[in-house]
Amino acid sequence: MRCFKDYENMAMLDLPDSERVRLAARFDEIVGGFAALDDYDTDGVSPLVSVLDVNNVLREDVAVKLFTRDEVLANAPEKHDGYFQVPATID
Amino acid sequence: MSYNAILDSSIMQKGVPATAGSKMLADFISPIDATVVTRLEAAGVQIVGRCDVGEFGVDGLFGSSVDGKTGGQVHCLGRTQDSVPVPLSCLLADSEADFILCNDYIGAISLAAAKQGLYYIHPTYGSVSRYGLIPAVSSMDQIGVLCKKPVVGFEVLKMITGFDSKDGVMIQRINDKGQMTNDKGQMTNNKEYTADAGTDEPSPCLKPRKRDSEKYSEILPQIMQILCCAEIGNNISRYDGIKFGYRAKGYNGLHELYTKSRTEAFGEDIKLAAVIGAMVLSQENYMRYYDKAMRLRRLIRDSLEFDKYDVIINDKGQMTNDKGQEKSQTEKWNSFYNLLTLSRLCGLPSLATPEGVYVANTGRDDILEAQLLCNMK
Amino acid sequence: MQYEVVMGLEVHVELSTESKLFCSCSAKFGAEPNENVCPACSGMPGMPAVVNKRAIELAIAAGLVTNCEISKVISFDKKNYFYPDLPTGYQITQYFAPVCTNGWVELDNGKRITLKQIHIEEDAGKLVHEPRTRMTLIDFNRASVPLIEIVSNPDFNTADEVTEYLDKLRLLLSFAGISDCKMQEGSMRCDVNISVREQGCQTLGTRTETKNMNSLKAIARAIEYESQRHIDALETGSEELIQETRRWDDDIGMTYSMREKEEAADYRYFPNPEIMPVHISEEWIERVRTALPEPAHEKFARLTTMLGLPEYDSKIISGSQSLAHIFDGVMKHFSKAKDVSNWILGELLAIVKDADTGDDNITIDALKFATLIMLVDEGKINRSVGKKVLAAVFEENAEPNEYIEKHSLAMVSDTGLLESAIKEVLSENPKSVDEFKGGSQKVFGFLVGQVMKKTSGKADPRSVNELLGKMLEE
Repeated sequence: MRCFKDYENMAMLDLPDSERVRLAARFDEIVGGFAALDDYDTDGVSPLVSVLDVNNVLREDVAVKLFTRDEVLANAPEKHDGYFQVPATID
Repeated sequence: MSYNAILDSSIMQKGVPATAGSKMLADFISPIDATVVTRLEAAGVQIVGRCDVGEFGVDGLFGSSVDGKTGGQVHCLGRTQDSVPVPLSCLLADSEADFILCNDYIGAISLAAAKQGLYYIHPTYGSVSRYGLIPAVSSMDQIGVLCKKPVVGFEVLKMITGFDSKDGVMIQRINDKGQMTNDKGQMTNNKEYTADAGTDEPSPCLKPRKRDSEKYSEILPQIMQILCCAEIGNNISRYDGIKFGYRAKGYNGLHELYTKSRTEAFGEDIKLAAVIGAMVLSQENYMRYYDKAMRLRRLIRDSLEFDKYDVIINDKGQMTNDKGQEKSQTEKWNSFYNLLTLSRLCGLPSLATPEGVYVANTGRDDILEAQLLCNMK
Repeated sequence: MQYEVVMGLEVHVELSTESKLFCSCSAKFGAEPNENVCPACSGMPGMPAVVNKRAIELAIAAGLVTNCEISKVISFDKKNYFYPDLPTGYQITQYFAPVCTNGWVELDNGKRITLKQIHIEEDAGKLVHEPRTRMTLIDFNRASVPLIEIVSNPDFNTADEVTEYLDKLRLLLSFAGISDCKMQEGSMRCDVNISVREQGCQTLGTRTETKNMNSLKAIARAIEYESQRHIDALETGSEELIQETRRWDDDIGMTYSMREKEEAADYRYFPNPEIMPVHISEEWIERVRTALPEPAHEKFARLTTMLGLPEYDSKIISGSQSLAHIFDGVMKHFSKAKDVSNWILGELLAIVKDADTGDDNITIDALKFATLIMLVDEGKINRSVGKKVLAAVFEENAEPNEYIEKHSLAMVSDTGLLESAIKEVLSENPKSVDEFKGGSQKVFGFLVGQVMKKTSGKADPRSVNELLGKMLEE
């Protein structure tokens, strides 16, 4: 069974120990409350993804250039020659 | 008569920081104007300031409630840029602003407003464009109006609602009177709790009535937490320190750039939401939590009997528990909060006032206004 | 011990749309880094996704040409994983309700490769590794470009079947204008799932996914290598086979394990509440079906059986989308199929080879090309003049009759003119005339050439031969 740390990794977080202990306790208390859902029968009920009963919201295939590259890169912590930049990935 | 507005920091203005109340976006300069901003300015409204009401609006999701369960007692403070958090009423009082636009997707801001003698109008889901709103819970996000005078609030609502092709999830039907109808185009006008939209007479009778959807009140908070944590966790995955926003200083390698930037920049509630969100969507838990919560959401929506009445009212004045005694203050706030949660789960418009909370059928924002007018008498 | 190799294929194909899948940026290949990018496809918040209608239509077309069932209601989902080329930390794909299911593609030997599904998803950006600075650069031009993923069932047993399937798929998709399917440019990418089991055993062996092959040859080599690696592992136990993703390195000719990207294997799929479901009506499917051009194998059958073209001609014409398009266009105005085929495979391809535009995107005005062939057929101009006019039509889109008029290239067949030209040639070449009279045939051709030159190539070769022969007899 996975534990708090596994879900923490999935969420791409690495909490300091003190914070992990505190959040894990809150996690257990809240998730404990979720058990109440088991008493409700939902067989044959389809999941409701959106309360809006709308479909086919489609956009015509027209290309439009609304933003310059500088605007897109304006907030980048590190950039080089028109690229975003990060430390080397493994492969 | 032009109004002054304060915008919550998750509503984007071009060239202005849109922080969503988070260190992660402290110096993120927005590249666009939100549709609501364009519409307010077109209507002559002055934007006089920005505030934030909690990181990504998450306050209240886990807030310790008055009776310890959930959101009831919600503090929900707001602060302007780098000032100390203050009650929302001060935010409005200190500035000459007439209203604040924010995304009250949980209902905690509405509750805090009612407690502080203010009003909050939360429109029908899909009636106000989310273009330029920093997303938190896509299936519930909706920009609403916090104000001192509700009449002003409804006027502002009319400025910001209306179809926008840049938001893929919007109601597309307007009836001949220019009102937003629900997506099936129906206008419901039932008598039991009716307030006649056109005239000012008070509604004929306010019989308290056991709502069928009340049998789910016990688990509304948990359903909200499951759905909101999953969507918040997913919507903040984009904040990785790579493309914009906060990037940690001391990291070596890509993995640490991710984990350090996110761990250092997010507040505790957001991190907790992200971890719970990962859990409820994980393979071994998806059916038991997330899928189940979505099915319960359908059952709850289908349990609303909007064929029998138009608006659900939780009014302070005549709230008695099953044994007929007057409810305690805590119980009242809790039932207000439950009704507000119900409105978010079902995409219904709600009006929070110091005297009570009103929730109308989808698309019938007009009834709330009418209900308010006849109560003001 | 006899082993059976079992393979399934996941083929990603970039759809040829103008704009990206969820924003209006251009989806075109080859721009400067991060030029075809906006806040939405670079991961910034606040710009909701709105689906590109054309992408859905091309996905429906892909389903039709591969005999799939088209779903009535389709929806989009979110696939969570962190990687620098994925701007939002999740990919929008179709996990619960894909657009097409249960199709098949038939190989030449009649074996059917069945398709589990085709679904629409968005592409990721591109990473550029800077070994010198130990940094990675990110270009989001390709991010959110529309893809379809064609997932086959594990029906393949040999590398040849895989390459034949990919060739057929490419023809089907490029013919229908769905994608240009260019592996080198990455608009068609193929991952192979391989497992090996003892002959006759029913359960599938341990499966590995092999990625990063950019040509059919590379795919064949990777399959040979990886299936052999499985067999060696099973026979000698030298290596423990685990379910994993491996990367093919074509230079050193081996696969190696790709731990790090697949690490977070739990993608936490969930329905995307920001994109409303799409209902696909029968009328919409019919509209797409009627707009589809004739697929390659049907065209080949029509060319050979109904038009009587030799198989060689039919194979080339039906195998190239642009040649097929030209052939059909010309045939609307000129019915002799063999002539049209000769002009295309002979003269046109000769001209194209000089202009080296490659033989898969030739364009020429079909009516003008037909007019030109008719003029030659009716003897208004001879074949060599026809070639010159064809070049003018191909390069400058010239109108044949105007061009012939302007350059006065009309056939010279008036006998009076011809006779005087022949007389001149005979008088200028007394030596050759004597050689011919002395019995040498070879010199006759030389004399014909001289007459053609004298009439600047416009004479009708048949009448020149006749008259010259008569006049030499006198």
